[in-house]
Amino acid sequence: MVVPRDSSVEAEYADGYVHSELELGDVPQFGQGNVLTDILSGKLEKEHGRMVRFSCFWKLKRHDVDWTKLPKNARPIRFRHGVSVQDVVTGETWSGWAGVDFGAQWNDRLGRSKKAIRELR
Amino acid sequence: MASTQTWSEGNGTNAGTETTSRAEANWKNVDDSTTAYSSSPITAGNNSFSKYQAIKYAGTFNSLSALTYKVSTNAPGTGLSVVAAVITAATPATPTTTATGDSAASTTGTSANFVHTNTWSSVFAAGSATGGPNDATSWYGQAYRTQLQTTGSAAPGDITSVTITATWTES
Repeated sequence: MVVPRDSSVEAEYADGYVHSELELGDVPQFGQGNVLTDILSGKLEKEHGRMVRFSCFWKLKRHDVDWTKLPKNARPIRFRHGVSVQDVVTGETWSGWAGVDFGAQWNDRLGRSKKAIRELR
Repeated sequence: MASTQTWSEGNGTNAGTETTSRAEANWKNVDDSTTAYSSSPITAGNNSFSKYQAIKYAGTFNSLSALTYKVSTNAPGTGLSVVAAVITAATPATPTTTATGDSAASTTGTSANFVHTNTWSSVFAAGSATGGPNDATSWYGQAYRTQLQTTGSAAPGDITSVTITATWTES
């Protein structure tokens, strides 16, 4: 069993294809950045149809957004909150995620920005 | 994969020589990142050499933002204080024991920008509030200068643990 790494994301498309940060090692398929960059670019929708699910893993649980219920201009959001600590005296260092904000942003018919964000901690 | 982070230190003239794999990160009476602090102790009433450090990002990321540096305490004992500043200009002062003139190090977070360069001396720059995506050129946080300052009332021996923390947001 592959244990999902905290804050990693994946997107599922209309034809069933799943673009997984974990499975791809977060290596982007369309240039610079990461797998989220791929998803944000919209390029996968040309081959696999509209995104139907956007998911984020946190503490061994998959959190889903049903993308079919969002306007077509919706954009995925995933912001990791990083922490890197060094102990000056011992020299020890460690890094990790304090949390992740995950969800969607879109503009309504009046052009107003709307967000639905989950703060996973 | 996401981003990975390491800490670099600048030593020598204008802190212009980068050390990426430090053996010794403590404040001490010498400007390097190798000598054991016990071999170059700070005597009461004097300051450590100023220390320039910066977080360095590798790995994969779409964007970086909201970088801060902070310390766990800026008063780690009687007669001891930690001062700090984010360095925004080129050609910083060479590390010395002269008081830097910086303010007490923040325990809640001092904002810093990101710098896109493969040249350590260019880390001493204004930078930009956001960084990324990753590419062949490194992303650094701006350099963070710290100094341990002491008075004659400082007790001999090791100081208590002090941590330096970088926080940021990443997509």
